[in-house]
Amino acid sequence: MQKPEIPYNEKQRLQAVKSYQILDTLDDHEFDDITLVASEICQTPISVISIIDENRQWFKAKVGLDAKETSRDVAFCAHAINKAEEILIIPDARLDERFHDNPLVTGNPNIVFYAGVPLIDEDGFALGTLCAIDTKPKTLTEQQLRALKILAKQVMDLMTLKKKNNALINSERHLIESINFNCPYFLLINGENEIVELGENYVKSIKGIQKNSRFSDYFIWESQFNPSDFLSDQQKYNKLLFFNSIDGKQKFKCSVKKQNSHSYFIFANAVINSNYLISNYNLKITDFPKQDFIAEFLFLLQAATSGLEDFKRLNTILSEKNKELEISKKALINSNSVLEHQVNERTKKIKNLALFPEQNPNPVLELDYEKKEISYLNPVAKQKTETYKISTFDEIIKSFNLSYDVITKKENTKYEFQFKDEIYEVSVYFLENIPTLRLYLHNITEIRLKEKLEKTKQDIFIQQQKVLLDLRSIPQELTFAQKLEVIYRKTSSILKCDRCSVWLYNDDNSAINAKHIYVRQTDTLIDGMSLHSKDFPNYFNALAKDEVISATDAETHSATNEFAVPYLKPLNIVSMLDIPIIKSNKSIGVICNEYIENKHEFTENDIAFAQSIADVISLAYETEQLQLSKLELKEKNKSLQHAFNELVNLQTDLINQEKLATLGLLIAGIAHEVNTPLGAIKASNDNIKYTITNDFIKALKVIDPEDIKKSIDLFMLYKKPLKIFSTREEREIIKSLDIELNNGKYNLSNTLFFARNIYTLGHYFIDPALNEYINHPNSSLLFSFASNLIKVLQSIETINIAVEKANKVVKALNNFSHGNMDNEITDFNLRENIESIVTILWNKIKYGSSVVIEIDESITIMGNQEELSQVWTNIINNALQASGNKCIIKISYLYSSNGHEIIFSNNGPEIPQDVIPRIFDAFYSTKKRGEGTGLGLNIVKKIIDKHKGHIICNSNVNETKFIITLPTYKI
Amino acid sequence: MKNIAILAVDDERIILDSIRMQLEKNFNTKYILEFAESADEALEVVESLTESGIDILLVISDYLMAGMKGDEFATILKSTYPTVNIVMLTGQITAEASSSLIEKNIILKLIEKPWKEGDLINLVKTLSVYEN
Repeated sequence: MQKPEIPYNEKQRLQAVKSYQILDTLDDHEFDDITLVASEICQTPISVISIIDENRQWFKAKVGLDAKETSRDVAFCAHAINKAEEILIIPDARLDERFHDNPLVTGNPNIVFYAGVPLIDEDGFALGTLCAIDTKPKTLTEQQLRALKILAKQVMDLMTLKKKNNALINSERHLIESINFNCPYFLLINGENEIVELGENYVKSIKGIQKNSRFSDYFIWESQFNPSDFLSDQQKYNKLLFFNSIDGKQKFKCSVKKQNSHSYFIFANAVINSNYLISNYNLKITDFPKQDFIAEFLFLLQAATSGLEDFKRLNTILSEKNKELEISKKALINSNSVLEHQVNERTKKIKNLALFPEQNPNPVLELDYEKKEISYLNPVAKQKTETYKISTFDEIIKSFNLSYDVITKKENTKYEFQFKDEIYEVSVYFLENIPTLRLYLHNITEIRLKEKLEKTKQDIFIQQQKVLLDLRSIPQELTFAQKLEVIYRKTSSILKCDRCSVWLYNDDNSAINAKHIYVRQTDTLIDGMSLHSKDFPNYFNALAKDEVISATDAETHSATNEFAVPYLKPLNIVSMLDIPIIKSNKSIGVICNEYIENKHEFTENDIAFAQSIADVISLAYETEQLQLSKLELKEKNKSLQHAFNELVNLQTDLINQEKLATLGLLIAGIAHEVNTPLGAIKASNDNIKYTITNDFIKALKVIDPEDIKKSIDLFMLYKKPLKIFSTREEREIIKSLDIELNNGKYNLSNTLFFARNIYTLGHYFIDPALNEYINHPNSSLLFSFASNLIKVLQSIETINIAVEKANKVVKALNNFSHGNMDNEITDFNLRENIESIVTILWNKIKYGSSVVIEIDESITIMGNQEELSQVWTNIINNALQASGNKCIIKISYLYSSNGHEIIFSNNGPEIPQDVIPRIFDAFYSTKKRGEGTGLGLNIVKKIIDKHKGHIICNSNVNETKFIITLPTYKI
Repeated sequence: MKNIAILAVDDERIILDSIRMQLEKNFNTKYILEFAESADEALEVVESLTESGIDILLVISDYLMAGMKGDEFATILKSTYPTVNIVMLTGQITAEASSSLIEKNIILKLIEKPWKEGDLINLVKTLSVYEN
């Protein structure tokens, strides 16, 4: 015994079975009737509707069988469901290797014959079967099989209807339950003033109130709130009536009135008298009761509103479905009665024919098997035996292949045999009481031919499916044209057409064009052509309607007769099969199969196949389009990338330009900063030169060497000043020295001269060691000479300072350009870096502004020094410009969890709050023309972004702050 | 002799020192040479010199200075001591600003930085001849 295979989609199939909620339900006469009809039609003692559950088959309805279910392993029906399209027919299970040892065959109910039609639901799942079972070998006629199929469909329809009905009942119940649960005080009425549904609290509080009673029996309507208005005019009102009880006497009637999509709450306080009649109204809109009641009211209102909407909608669906159900039921009953009628007719006919063999259109023979002679031939049989010259009993036995076994066993049987060109089915009956067997011959040649034809059709179908399968796996790398060539070949070989071509619409659908036409006979592609709608309106109309044009006689077919003269006749085309190619619900063209010389009848299979081919073409076309657009996309991407690269270049250019602009703004100051020390150097040099050439050389020539020696001694008393005194201090010192020289101790005419020279010697009061020189007869000469020596020293010192100063400026400038070392990330000292920027800007800062740098000398940060220098310059320069060079700039540093925070604050004017969000935008500038490029802060932002940092700006009346955060990790 | 003074004002010490060297070299014994690092200080010096009865031959002033700028200083000085001669020494004054100062007869002339020693000395010499 073979166990049935489990379908590949078993899990989903079981879900589908469950969804019908049919398993283990009670008997249902509607299903019972169907099995009864089935067994009558098929002339079998047993018929069942079997549903295949996970491990069993369960019988929804059955005749001639006691069991309610069997295991799935032994179920015939479990085999039947595996071939959803077919009817499983087992003529003799005893001879079938799948079933011969099946317990249902070897034991009760001793199945021999089985025919099962799968029950296929809307989604294609085989849920079970309708089957006919016999304990004898049997074959079913075509009519019987067809009837069985129809009945199976009826079973399925009935199951579907019941399923839908169940769903409706469930949802209705659910709805009512949920409304009841959510708002015990609710009441639904329909336009006929009838209470449709009501909450339990109403049942409790209003005596006698119940469903289906009239609303007006308990309540009185305000005239302007007629319920039918509510229910008929959906645009104006939400259909809701809502009542709530505050105490036993007061009832609230509420409605939601919708106008211009605005909701108004009309809240009417109604007093209900002891007869539940409203004695008066107190309409209120603002004077709501307690707040919590409003909340509850709104909640209930919402629940009831949505509930009612659902209820109404479902009610409509329900009544529609009910109508459908009624119609289906009627149809079922009708078809059942038709079937019954057919069965009765047939039975009657058979009976008649048996009773009156003379009238039987088929041969009927009676043989006396004891006497071994022909005892009766009806007219048809007589004619046949004469035609074929069969006259004896033996000849008949021989011709009909009747075995003596049959005769001796006296078993009624049915079998088939071929005689000459004709195929007969012979039913053998032994007449009671007389040794006569009656043979009913039924000519089934045509049936068999049809079957054979059907078989051929099936073979073709299989072949077609194979081709389609091949075409679906056509290599994707082929171009559309290459794919078409393959498709042409396969299609024409299956459809046996002589020419095959694909025509695609042009852009405005006014014409169709074929690039090539495939000719089967020569296996070649010839050049195609274009057809215009104005020339062939009927054909284009037919295509526009997505019609399949199957023109066996193309010259007369309404869609193709236009082609007769210009196209068909010259090419001798007689038949055409044209199928529109549809892509996303839109026709893109047509595949055209043409037949030369011999007319071709198109079967449903042919058309279905051609349609599948059209689908394959549509897919290939789509793939082609996709690939084309992919290419286009690639191109676009390329140009975008190009544009992007250009933008990056442009940005680099912009940054450089901005740098140059900044430098340009600074250049005058820088020139000054360099010129100043250069001027000082020049002056010092001139001084040294002058002193040496004029003073010294002259002095050495004319002055007494003793005096020179004395001068040098005086020079030796020089004390290098500890600091550079300001001119003010200098003046004070000289003044005090002058006073001291005038105190009478000395006899000098030019005290100020001596005071200056003593100061030059680095003495700030009169050292007793100087007295000797002051009182020297040539004191003026001595002091002049010594002073000149010192001034040379001082000049050299000035040169040193000037060189250092110039060096500092050059070093600072260096920050702006490292030559080719762009984008170099280095560690650098933050304070030094910012100080050098201040140097460059010093020329601007010193007149009215000041810079305070509160950064520890040990701080180093990582980044592109050149770019960050640009940032500091921009921010400091902005502060100077904004304040008219009058502000205090404070630069501080903070090591925070976000990284290095460098804070530039200044007390310049506030940046308006509406401007702050835009200050980092490109080309945004509030400066005067020529003062800024409008790129400064935008570049600053870009540089900071590049360093993976942040820059923010805060500004108020007291302070404007730029906070730059740079990461501490390596970027 | 020695009752006439020359005053130089510049907030850049090395510039001031350069001027000092040039002046001392040429006029050390001829004039009282005074130096100030700011306009304010220069005004004090002028006042104290005047009080001591010393005439001022020339004030050489920088234009761009921290605090009071050269033009303001010159304007104040000239309004108090109309006879004083002022020379502006600068690299950064605009043509309009300087010509305006000259037109108003506030300054005598403008010497551009970097200046030639000869220019400065010749100016002083010319003035001294004129004064005498």
